[in-house]
Amino acid sequence: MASTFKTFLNDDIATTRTLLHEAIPITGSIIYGTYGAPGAELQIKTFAHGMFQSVYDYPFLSSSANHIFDVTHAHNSVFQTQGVTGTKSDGATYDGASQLGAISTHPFFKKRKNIYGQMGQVLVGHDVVGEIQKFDQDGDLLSAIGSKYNCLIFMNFARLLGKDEIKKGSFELKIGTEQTHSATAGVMNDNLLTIKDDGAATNYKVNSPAGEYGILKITGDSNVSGGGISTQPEYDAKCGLIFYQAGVVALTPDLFMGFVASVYNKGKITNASGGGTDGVDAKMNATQNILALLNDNAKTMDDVALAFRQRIEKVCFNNTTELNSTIYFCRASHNDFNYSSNPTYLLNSKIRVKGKRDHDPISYITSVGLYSSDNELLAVAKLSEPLRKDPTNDMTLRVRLDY
Amino acid sequence: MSLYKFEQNDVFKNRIKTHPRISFVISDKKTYYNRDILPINTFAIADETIQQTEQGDLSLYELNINRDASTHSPPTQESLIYPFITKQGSLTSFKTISTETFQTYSYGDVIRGQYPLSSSIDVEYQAASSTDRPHIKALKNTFNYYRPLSPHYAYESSNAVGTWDKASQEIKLVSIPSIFYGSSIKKGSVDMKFYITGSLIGRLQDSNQNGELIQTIGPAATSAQGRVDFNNSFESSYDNKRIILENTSGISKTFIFDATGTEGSTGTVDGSGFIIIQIDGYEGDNAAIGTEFATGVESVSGFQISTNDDAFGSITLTQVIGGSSGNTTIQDPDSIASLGIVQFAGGAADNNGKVAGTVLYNEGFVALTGSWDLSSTYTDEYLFSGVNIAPKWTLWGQKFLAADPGAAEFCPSSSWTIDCEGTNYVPVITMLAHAKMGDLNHSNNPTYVKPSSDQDVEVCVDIEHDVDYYENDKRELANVVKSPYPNTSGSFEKTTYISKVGIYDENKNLIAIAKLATPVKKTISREYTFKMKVDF
Repeated sequence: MASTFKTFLNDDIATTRTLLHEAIPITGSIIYGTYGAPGAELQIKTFAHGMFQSVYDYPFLSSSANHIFDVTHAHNSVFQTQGVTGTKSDGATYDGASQLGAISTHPFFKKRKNIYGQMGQVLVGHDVVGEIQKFDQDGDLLSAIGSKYNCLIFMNFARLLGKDEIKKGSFELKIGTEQTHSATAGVMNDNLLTIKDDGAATNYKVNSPAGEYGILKITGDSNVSGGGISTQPEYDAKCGLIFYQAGVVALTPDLFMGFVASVYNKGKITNASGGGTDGVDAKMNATQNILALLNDNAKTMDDVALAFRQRIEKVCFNNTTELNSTIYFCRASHNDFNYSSNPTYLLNSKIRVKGKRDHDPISYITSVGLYSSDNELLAVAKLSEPLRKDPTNDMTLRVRLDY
Repeated sequence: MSLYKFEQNDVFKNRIKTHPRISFVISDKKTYYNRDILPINTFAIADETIQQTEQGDLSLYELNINRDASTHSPPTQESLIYPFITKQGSLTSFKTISTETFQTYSYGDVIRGQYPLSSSIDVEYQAASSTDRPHIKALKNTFNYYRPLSPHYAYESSNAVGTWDKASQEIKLVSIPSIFYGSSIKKGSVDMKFYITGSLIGRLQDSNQNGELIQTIGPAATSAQGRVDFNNSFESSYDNKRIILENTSGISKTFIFDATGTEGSTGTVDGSGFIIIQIDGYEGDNAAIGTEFATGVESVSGFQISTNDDAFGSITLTQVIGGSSGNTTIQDPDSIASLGIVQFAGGAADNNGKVAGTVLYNEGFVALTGSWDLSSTYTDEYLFSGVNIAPKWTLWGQKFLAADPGAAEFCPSSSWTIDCEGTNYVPVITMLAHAKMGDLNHSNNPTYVKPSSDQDVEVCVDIEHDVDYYENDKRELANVVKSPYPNTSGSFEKTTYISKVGIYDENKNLIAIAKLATPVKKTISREYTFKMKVDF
């Protein structure tokens, strides 16, 4: 029980915030291929509503399994006439009407629209008349319609991995866009695009109700047709958005179509071998690109999620946890705390550690108690070893309280 | 949205006391926690589970499930999830980074940790000759702190309870991390067992709830045996001579031989209280004399000494009650010629009821000091020293060794268990939110007002280039009152459906939401109290 109290002054209390990160590497082998045949993968949880798939890092029936992310896709009502983005990066327009003319009859048409609306409400909000806004390529929500994402593939990362937020500038996705289908993941990962949020550490958007978000781009690390991408038209192209606090990545299906008309069919998400006799991708037709896949009434949203997952080579990012601390500077000046009320401090009514009467009193500080304003003991800080305190020295003990 | 302030009796703060069960099984260098066997990692790291830990270990965050750790070399090659922090002015670091190591980093450097952070039960054996036992010595004050509970906690003792010094006696320290049990181990819940080839040979329990681990099951007591050899076949050598036997309870009986046939048959008690052994007619037959003596001993009711006759004049006597008492109680006061006597020997009491160790409940330690043999027949190489020794409590859980046996089996016939309960406190806040009569009968939900083509349009007024938006105050409320008749609605009554309750702090920040399983109908005349509970 303390007998001497000192009151903290304003300069004696400081607050700090430390960022603790975790590096989260997710290899393609976790997402696809290790735990069973496509459609019956034990680490993939599918649902009767068929609106999304949940990806785990181990067969999900095991209590050891952790939820990694959900994957789904969605489009809005103008997707049918305007295609994925309305205009392509080279200014050409999609022949959306011819490819998507019958999409309104697709069994999942309404569900996809609902998902787009739901994600839009949370991530980009409403406009002044209450309509849900469209996802925008460069984050300028008030811009013309041509820069909107009408169709997106979503990866919703679990809070277990995303924690407080995904660290800006740390996201990386490597995804294959190879047209040739194969049961071998290496072949599927050819024409590998590397997607990052480069520069987002200092350049990010704040006009989302869900927090901050960055622009995803195809980077020079990509390996297309056996060479670098820096000379390709895809280089530095915007391909999606990443919402850091929400832990959501939104990717455009353009990734699987080529970004300019000349390479329109370079990357397909479908099985080019026709029929998929190897069983890996049997639900895909021979000539479908992503638009045809979305438009095919026989293909479910799970089919699209499967086709997307099997092309992922790696996803990695760093998460962030904020550690809030209060630092109390406990100052013992030269004439403070030189005595003790400990019973062992006295021997025969004399200070035990004081040899002669004219010697200075000595005490040894072993712990610091933090008290409330009405002298309730709230916390105790212990020293690793006692500190000698006498009138010749003063000290400041730095006590940090983490929350 | 209406805000109400909690009154004095609306918020309760409680603490739930829980007792999680803990069970460890130790066998052949492996530990199993709560009888759970995790799958082995498929990436060829021997005996490592999918959590990158050994069986029985607890992984703190349970990340990195079934990943290949061999290819992990951050930051260039990452295959495992790991934490990192940047050294900065707050001087925050990981617990696993020593102060000395922390000082070697420059400000701005990345300090990397690693997962998994695991926790497991540990056992540490100290032979009587060993003095290098810092973990035992560090607990000296703790042991002595518990002395009011039981004298067996004393670090040193030399009194009627016993003489020992934990700094030098043979001892086994079992360490249970607090993540398994919470605040403390529950008194009276500790149950330790010792098995040989699946058979229980010993059990310890703290049945007195005072920290003493008392043996409740152990080897049975053994009975003392003696022998009387009747080598002389002459009746006259025995006539009127006595043999005195005393049993374990201290009861003596005197047997007197009669070769005349006048004192009565064998088993008859004479006037002096002696039991007659009638040997008349057995001249030259020492085996028959011995048999008659055995018959006389067996005739004494409740004497608790049994006999075994080898039919050649040798009678084996067994004390029915086990123990060492009465080991020297075959007397031949009249010195019968050629009578052979082997005194009672070999009896031993059991160790049930003895204290074999103590439990430090708050700290999660068990100190085992019982060094008596738990088997008279089984031995094994418990200390990996090339010498087989009998099992005893100080060898409980002998899993970790100074000399690693490597892949070889280690005492595969022995296995050990410890079961106990922890004590964990869960702080709980219970809040009562009242929806009183006449309150909460209006909603700002858009569907609360009646949809109407002209009235639900918001009115925009331009006042000197400013744009203001107004809601039409003539809008009608939707009537949701159910009528028993078709194609009509009931008489209007203000009705809402409460679907959730929000909890706000003193600054009106929303800090929690409680949702109802189904919305409840609230009218002016109804009132509700919602009970909300928050566990921490």
